[in-house]
Amino acid sequence: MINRDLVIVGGGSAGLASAISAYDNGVNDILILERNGELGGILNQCIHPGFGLHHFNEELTGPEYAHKYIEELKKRNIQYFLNTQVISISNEKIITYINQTGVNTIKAKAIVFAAGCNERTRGQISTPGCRPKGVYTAGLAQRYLNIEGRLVGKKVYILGSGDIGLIMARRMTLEGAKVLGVSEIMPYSNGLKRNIAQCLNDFNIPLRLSNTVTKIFGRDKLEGIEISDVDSNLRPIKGTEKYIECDTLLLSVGLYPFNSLLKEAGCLVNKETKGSLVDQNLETSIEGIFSTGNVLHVHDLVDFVSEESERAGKNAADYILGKRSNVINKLEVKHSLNVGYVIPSIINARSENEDIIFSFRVKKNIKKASIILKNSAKILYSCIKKNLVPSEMIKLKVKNLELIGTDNIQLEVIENE
Amino acid sequence: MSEKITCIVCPNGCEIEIDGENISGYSCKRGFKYAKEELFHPKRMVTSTIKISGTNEVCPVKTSLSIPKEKMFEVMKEINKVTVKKPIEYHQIISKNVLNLGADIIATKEFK
Ligand SMILES: Cc1cc2nc3c(=O)[nH]c(=O)nc-3n(C[C@H](O)[C@H](O)[C@H](O)COP(=O)(O)OP(=O)(O)OC[C@H]3O[C@@H](n4cnc5c(N)ncnc54)[C@H](O)[C@@H]3O)c2cc1C
Repeated sequence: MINRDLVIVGGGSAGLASAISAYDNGVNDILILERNGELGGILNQCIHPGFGLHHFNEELTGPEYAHKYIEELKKRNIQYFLNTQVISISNEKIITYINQTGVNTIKAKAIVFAAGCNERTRGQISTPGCRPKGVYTAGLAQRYLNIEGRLVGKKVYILGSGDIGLIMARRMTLEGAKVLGVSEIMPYSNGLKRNIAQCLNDFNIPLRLSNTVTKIFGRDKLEGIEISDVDSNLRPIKGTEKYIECDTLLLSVGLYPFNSLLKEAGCLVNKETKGSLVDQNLETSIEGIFSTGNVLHVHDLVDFVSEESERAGKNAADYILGKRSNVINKLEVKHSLNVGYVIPSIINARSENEDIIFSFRVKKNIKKASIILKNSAKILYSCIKKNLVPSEMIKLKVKNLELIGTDNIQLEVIENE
Repeated sequence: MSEKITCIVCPNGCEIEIDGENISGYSCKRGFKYAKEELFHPKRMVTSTIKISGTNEVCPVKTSLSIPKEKMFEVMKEINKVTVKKPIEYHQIISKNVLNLGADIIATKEFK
């Protein structure tokens, strides 16, 4: 068995940023393991613009954003194996992977887990009807079109208003397909506002809110679908059914962290994100195993993935180089009911005050809110934020947060009117 | 009469209100510029792919500048007419000054 200082699982934007950051913070023995034949991850199929405005202050396409990181990686002596799939990780940080050379194991001092996310499929959302050809997840259709140059259909309907579906609505329209509409079961869209504007409104594609696909027709090949409005309990309303003839149905019904390997290693899971439970340093419940990017929680912005992953890389380096002081207090991070999740879930305080970055999502649209951090005794921090929506992750950077004299911190979002 | 548009410059998606000469609701200079343009001559960047000859692969491309929104489909037609050979440099120009709009079609990825 080979020994390595740092092994990074996944060579997408999260893996690349953590590798570069760990290197710049003093670790030279780094290996990235990537399942695909190239680095860059999901960015390679996201050929549309909209990346890097925060990080590079210019608007890049996905491949361009990846290119910048890969160039940085190549300036450093960071090793990577392509076409290499990690098949298990143990709590002793032993990694088993498989590639052309066979099955191999490595013992790492630290691991950054950056394996990205998966798309929800029909099984998980249970659309009734037959299972004909012509039903795809939006990301798979995107991969076929943008990597392999294959358009999956000509008359398209989209279920779910997630960003990938919206981006694909525009992309397929430009390639000559007719996109007949998008149904979203919730009363609000799950995609970014700008994507509704430039991907649907620009092409007069209707967005139907509180509406869903209730039937699928066609035996071998998709022939059409039935859509219906839903009530406030998300149940279809009788009498609102409408038939739509189409050859393709794209599912854009959400993403979830591809976290099974860490779960099997024994890392505790955050029930709300389905990713690992981490502290403020993005360290899981197993010391020396870090998690970042979409495998930790699904991000809408790659810029935030890069930022989070730079922290993961630095923290892994500090751990490997023995630069960390002892934990002086452990705190649990809780949240109010209108918050969907917050990261970190716990804080392992190594000094009395620390700068802490919180990432969270709200559960419903809120025009204006007070964001408060408090412990059982007092308010520690507060600010006002406008236009909070579930589809956009909120990042809160709190300087010098007091971390002693309490065992928990509560994040509250209070609606102001 | 006022009109509301969603800014598409960045993922913040500000709601910008345009009331005659009055533009409000933007939160950066780019948003202001976008709103003004959107009112008089809306523009979009077009991204697509081009077949790499002799392979099963496609190369992602973009227009080097935003082009008038109503020309998007015509630009797509031009993009679909060309193929390209390996090796392809990052930001290599594939077609110059497409439809005389002042923008080039450039590769957004390298292929060795
Ligand atoms: C379709 C889509 C559109 C988006 N649009 C935008 C946008 O317009 N603007 C924006 O800023 N952001 C956008 N994002 C968000 C952003 O691009 C992603 O959140 C980010 O790139 C994810 O990076 P990642 O490294 O966490 O995951 P990924 O890019 O998925 O990387 C994970 C990598 O891990 C590898 N891997 C997985 N399992 C294993 C294993 N067992 N062994 C080895 N390797 C493994 C995978 O092959 C992959 O390369 C979009 C995301 C998607 C999915």
